[in-house]
Amino acid sequence: MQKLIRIEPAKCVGCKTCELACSFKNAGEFAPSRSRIYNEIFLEEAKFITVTCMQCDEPWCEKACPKNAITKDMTSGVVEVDAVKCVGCRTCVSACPFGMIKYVDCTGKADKCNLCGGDTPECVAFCPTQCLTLGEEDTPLRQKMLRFVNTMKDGQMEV
Amino acid sequence: MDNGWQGKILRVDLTAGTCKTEALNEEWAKAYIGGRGLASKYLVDEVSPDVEPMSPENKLIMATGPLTGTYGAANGRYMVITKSPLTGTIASSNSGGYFPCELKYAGFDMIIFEGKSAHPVYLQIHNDKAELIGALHLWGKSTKETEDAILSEFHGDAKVACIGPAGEIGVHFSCIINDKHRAAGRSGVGMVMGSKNLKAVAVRGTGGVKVANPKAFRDVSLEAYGMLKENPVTGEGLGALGTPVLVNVMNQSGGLPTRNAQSGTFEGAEAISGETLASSYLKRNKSCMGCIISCGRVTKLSDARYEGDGEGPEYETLWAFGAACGISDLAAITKANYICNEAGMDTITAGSTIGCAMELFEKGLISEEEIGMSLNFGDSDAMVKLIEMTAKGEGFGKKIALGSYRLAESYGVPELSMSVKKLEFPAYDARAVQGMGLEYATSNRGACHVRGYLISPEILGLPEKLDPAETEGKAGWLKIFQDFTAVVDSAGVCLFTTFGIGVPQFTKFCNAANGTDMSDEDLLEAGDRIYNLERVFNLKAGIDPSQDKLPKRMLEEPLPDGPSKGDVCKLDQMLPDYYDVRGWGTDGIPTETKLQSLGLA
Amino acid sequence: MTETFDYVVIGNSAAGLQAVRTIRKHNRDVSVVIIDREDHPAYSRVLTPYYVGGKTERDNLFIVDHDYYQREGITTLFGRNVVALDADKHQLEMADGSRVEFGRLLLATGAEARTLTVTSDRACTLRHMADAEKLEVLMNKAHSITAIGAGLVSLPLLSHAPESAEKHLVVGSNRIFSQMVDAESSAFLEERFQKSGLQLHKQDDIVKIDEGERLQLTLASGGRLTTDMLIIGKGVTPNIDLAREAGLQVNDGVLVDDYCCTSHADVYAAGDAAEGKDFVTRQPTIQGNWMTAVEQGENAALNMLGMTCAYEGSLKNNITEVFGVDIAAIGYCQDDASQIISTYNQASGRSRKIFLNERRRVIGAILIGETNDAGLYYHWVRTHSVFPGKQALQRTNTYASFLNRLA
Repeated sequence: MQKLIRIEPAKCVGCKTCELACSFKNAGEFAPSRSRIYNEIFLEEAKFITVTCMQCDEPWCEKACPKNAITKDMTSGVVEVDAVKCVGCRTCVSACPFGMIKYVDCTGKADKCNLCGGDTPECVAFCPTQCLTLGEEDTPLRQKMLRFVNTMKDGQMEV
Repeated sequence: MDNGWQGKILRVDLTAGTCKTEALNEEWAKAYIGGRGLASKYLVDEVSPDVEPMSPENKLIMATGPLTGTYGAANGRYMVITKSPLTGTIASSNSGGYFPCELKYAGFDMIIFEGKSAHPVYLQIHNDKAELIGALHLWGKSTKETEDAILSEFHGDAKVACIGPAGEIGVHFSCIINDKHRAAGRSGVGMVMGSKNLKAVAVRGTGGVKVANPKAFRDVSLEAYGMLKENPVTGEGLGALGTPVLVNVMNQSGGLPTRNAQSGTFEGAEAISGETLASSYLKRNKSCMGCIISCGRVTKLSDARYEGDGEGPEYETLWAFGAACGISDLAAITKANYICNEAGMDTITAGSTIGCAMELFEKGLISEEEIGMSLNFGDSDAMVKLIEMTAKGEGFGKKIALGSYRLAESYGVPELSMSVKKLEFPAYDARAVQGMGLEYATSNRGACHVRGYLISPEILGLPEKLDPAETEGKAGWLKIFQDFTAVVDSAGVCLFTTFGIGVPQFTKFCNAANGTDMSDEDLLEAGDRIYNLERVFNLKAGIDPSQDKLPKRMLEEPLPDGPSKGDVCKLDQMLPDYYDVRGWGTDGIPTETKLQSLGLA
Repeated sequence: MTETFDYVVIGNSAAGLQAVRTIRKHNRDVSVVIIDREDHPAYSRVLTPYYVGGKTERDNLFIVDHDYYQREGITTLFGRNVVALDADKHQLEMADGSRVEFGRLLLATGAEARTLTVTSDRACTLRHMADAEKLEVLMNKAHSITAIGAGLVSLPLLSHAPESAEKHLVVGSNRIFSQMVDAESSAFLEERFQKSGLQLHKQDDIVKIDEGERLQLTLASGGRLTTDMLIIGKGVTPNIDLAREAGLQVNDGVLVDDYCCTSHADVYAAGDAAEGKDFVTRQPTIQGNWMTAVEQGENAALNMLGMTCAYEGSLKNNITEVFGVDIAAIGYCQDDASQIISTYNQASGRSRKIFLNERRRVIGAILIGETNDAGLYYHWVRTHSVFPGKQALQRTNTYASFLNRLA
């Protein structure tokens, strides 16, 4: 069964531990700029919104890649960048409407969430509030998005 | 660098308008851990103890620790170190939020500001690029307005630390606010920043922080997270109610100083408690960067008289504008808190000074005419009005702006200032909690609770329960707490983690981050070194051991109510013991042997 | 000899490859052939500048290998030229005289680089693998490199060249990237590039090349340049001869409707040869970028399969890094937009310029510096988003901010 990181915004406290855990594991340093998950703080609205790649069923990034360096594994559902093939042209970056794939200067490659390649994703392991969990997932993308947006709307103002 | 340090210091000469990068003194970093300790070492080395705090010769250091920017506990603090204009002691004020980590991600461990700019400026840091920018357009603006303006002209993802109008006009307890709601609060560090014509520091950093031993670091982080989650204070209490959880706790202990510490319990405590806040203005709780405790309170006022939103009030603030002033009006307290955050003022000194003024008024020492209104205990409208006047430097507000000691002294009654070394003590009555009395008397920045928080064992029972009325053994406990706190601050970690984790975890954190091989004893010795370094600076600055005292009220007026009714603080029973365990002479001066053993001679 | 296929695709690049992929995704039974005059499996034209500049290996340019076509049951006629099309007869004539009959045909014939009237062995365009190979050799030993034309061939190539090499750019117009960004952004970029050592020769041309140990270029302005190689980046001309001679409607490119269909019901066109509706202007346009070719290739294939679906229009979407400056240009980015909103910061070198229509909908964006949020801006244009206000430009554009505005 394919898996996905589930996010319950009402539980988020805006600590960015997910970003720290992600970058520490995947980039070897604590660097929110290198994180593949994004925990954003909107101070005015008192909202904390966390987003990461939803491992699209038909990934924009995969389609855009002029090198076939991005593939979706049909078993795990993970959409992954092959760092050997990637030349760093950034076509995928401008294709993803969610901004979930980025070009990293120091590696010269595109980089995105791969659910930590089979382990428990580090962000999930370190999330202090269980805002992030790893769940089985088979809902088509559109529903995923809708559900996500609705949880966002519902979950924000709760304490 | 492949350890917790970036290895770089930014030196900003405000007089010349230059920004220069220099290498971190790694030898010092090892001996003084970082943050508070390391920056103090730089200050002591570069600034004469008798420097006039408001002169260009004083320096202002913003310092992170080796753990700032990592995960593991609540590793997102920075400290502001300077000579305090309020107390004349060395000042180290500590804050979280997101700014401290961003500074580190930009590649700097520390910023040293020296001199004085001819015009208002602010510092813009974009990774390795640092530049002073004119800030005339920001002068006079609130901390909120300043941050918004900088975000729009610099980068929306930047993090900002700035002073409000209070720091510009010389309010003696003005602070430096970062991320709009987080304060490097005490000792008037904002006043020093204002004296240098430095309005703000804005940072955008897209780099990272490495550690020497990633595997060990991850392991100790998981260990620390587990301990913090299981601990009732860090795992539950602080998250659910924030620091205001303490209002009812301290009131029940009879240690909630009320009406300028005329009593130890407050009949209005319930109305200003964490529980009441949670059921009224609290919108949600919030963390600082990398923190799993999430004690921050995001609040919004809904009251016919006052409006606003922001973070807080914290426990100390609820007490300062509440119990200390005999006020049980949560809306007014919250409003006063917002005003302080926006103007950039320390709420503890602000509230305590107003409480002091109220007593002076009720005792007939200040007239209604002079204040421009009556100022009785419990008058919340007057309190809010006076805070506004202080922030704007209007009328009697100018006297409040001096802090309670200078205020009371000007009416010939300095003993009515609830302060030590001119710093007001916060929300714990020394008569009900003996160890805290010793901490107030001996803390290197005046009557401060966060240099050796003995409330933890004496009231909360962490790591073990001590009898708050007992004086025996408190000196020993305090020394360890003070040394450990110096370590925690210096490492760049929030003090609140120490409810749940102890020295062994910090030793592991520091070793894993820096690739060192320190023992628990080494780490505490570094804390001791830092404490003595500060002490020596203070002594040279003319703050002699006779200042290790408490207001007369704490020593001579027995508590009239509560479980500790009839008690005074028995400082004289503890102080000699304290000097002894510190290895100082009976005169309170560190011996040559002691200083030599710490490498300070 | 005549071979017959259900689907014939001419052109083995972005559009052609995506078309055969799409056909195979939906139908494994039909017969498919892909024809290209170059004898290689599909390679990536987006990446050739990286190869020339030594940033990647030649082998890494290939998108698929020969096995791919075999595995997918796609016949390949590589290294073969199509010389004539008879649409009514559903027939192609090959250079060797053989014929290929089709049920439906896709023209993904791409475009050819324009060249100069004056020429040299050490001057080269960049369009094909052979060009890339030649440029790579030239660039390796050049001490001075000159390029003509200021678009997405010349500038990235110059920026990939060795740091030590002298770099000249001859521009016919008065600014660089004139097809991609507005005048103000051009000026901004010129300044940045010049700081990196680029020498600009604007409103000029190369009128004469003298061979010798080094090349001597004579400029229209009268100036002379001594250089070791000349990169010709004068844009492209769509390959439409086949379509025109077959009587299909053509303009600059092969005209297609919203279904990527040409004036003949069984002939489709996609990619750099096709002229279809622009998403913003609704005018027939040759977009000339990789994503458009992929999208059109897919759309054409779906319609060829009878799975009717309209293409919503092509959208400019260029993203690159030149001389260390990240640049992205999306949608309509010219000075005559109803409203243009911009932010710029000196310290970060980051600028955002947003182009709005009369209803305050986002129609284009130019991003300079920190382009990792380009996809969000692309999405704004694609979804006709109402501009959320200047504040949104001040920070990184993120999906979280989008959700925040929504919630």
